[in-house]
Amino acid sequence: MAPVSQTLHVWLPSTRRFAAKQVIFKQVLLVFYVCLSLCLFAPPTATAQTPSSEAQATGGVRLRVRPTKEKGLPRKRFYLIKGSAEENKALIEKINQHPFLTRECYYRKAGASNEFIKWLAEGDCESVYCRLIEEKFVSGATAVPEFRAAYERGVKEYKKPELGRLWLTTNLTDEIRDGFYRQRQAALKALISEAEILSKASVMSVMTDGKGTANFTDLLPGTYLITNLLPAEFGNNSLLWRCEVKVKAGPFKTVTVSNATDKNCVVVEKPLPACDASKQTALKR
Amino acid sequence: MRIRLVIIIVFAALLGAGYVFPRIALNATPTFSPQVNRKKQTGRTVRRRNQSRSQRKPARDYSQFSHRSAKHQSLACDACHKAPTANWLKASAFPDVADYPSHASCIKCHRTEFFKGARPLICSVCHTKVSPRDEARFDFEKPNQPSQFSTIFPHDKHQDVIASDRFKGEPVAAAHALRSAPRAQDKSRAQYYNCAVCHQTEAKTPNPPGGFPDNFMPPAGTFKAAPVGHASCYNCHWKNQEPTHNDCAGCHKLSETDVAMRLAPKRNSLKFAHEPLEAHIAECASCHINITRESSLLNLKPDVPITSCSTSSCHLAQTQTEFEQRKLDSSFGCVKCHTSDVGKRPVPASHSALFTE
Repeated sequence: MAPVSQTLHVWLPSTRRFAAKQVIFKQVLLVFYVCLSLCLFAPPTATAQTPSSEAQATGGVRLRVRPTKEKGLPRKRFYLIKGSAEENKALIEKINQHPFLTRECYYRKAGASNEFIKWLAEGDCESVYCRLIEEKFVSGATAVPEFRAAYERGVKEYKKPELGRLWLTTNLTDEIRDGFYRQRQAALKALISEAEILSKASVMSVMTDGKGTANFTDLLPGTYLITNLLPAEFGNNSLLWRCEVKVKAGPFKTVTVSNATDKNCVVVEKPLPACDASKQTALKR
Repeated sequence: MRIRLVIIIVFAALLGAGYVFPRIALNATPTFSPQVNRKKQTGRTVRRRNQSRSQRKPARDYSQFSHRSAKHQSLACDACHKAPTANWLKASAFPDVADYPSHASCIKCHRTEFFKGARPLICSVCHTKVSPRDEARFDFEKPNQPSQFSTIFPHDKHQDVIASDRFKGEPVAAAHALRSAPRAQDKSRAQYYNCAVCHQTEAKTPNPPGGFPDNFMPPAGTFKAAPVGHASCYNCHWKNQEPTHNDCAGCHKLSETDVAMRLAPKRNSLKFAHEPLEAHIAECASCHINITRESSLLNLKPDVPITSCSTSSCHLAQTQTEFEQRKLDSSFGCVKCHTSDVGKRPVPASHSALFTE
């Protein structure tokens, strides 16, 4: 490539060459000064941390889930979605249309024994992990067939009878062990993802304690939708709630989620569907 | 013309500075610039030019084992660690990784270091004494060592699966309503899993170097423990339930910096004790109100906000009295819950909001 001076020599008459050179020279000078002043006087953003902006005031919601007056709904997850019910209309539609499979129906379909289903129901468990598998459920008249079989495999494998019982879940099939929990998780994951796309904000979740209370903290003021996304089993019914709540900065706002009529809360209560006995399959061992 | 001269001088000065300063910097750290150094050392430089590149690398400290070296990272975990180790029946109550990798795992690449001198440094990684006649090794895992790994643990998922309505039919206690830990002595009652599966009460109070502030010694039962080792994991994750025992990376993530050992829990309210249960028998999540929302150990917020305590009839009066005293005398320190390092700090907004309502 020819240098600038040679190019000018070719294309410009000699009287204008000097003027052109001066223009280029001035432009280079200008660029240099601009760079130099930027280096010297620009705020040192790259080297120093910008002071954090003042923390925004937040509020919170104390959730009390009371399907009956006497008892709260324990150990159930509730989800907080940004936006009002109207703004989340499409999501609510999806939630309402989502097929609901009860714990009993799932395990009957998987070919689980009556004893196993009863054992889960006693602790309102979604998987085998929620309660200790005691000796009486492993051998003897009250034994759960699935547990007895897994225990026998464990004793052979781990060489220690106690380990066979404590590690019993490692010898259960995937479906029996936590299949119901996993299929619910898959459905929840899909609904949460949908909610996050629609609301353009991440979905927060908390679990109720033994009394059916949970807290959503550090919330920016605004309107939110609180829902359990998938129906919860309570007695012989399924319960699906959605409540609209306006959060202001400051102390917690208590929201009671019950079956009573409330202008901000909607409850869909349905009797648990009967399980289709024909869909039972043999227990996979 | 004068302007042109000035510009040329400025450019020359800048070029000169650019030329000189890197050299100063390089000279200041000769170990990291072997090529620059080599030019200075005239006689030796010629001889060293032909030396292999590996010999020019800074000397490694073979008394310290690092999982972070490129070569170690390129290996599968089970190239060295066996799960379970051959000694598990003697060393552990369950199949576990209970010993250091065998010599065979190391010697393939480190034969030179194994036979270097009378007391090879590499032996001191595992052995207490470097001697061919002494096979004694440190306890596994090596005591008082920071971990090179952080733990991946989805806390919420574990809470989900252990959660159950285990209080069905139990009488409700008056003060805090619910008990958190299964009572071992009551064997007739079904034991349901909950936080206590992993978080037992620390029987012994940890003693951090330098002690606790104000020489305050928290009584036994103050802190809850977190799981250490595989005991709380393998009973479910040994096989089938992922991550299983042979998928180390499912839980252990190599950390860029060492993860310091937890010497004592960090607490704002050091004077709170979890035990005895007669005093605090609330369910864990009733006070640790943020604990169920986090999906990872990294963001976990086990803090108990003041609203969990001060709204109860037990603590409202005391906390309010201290707050009022603090308003009158800014040098007053809150002592009911805090040691002086926290009690004399400016009153946080969460506390002010509670009592100015």
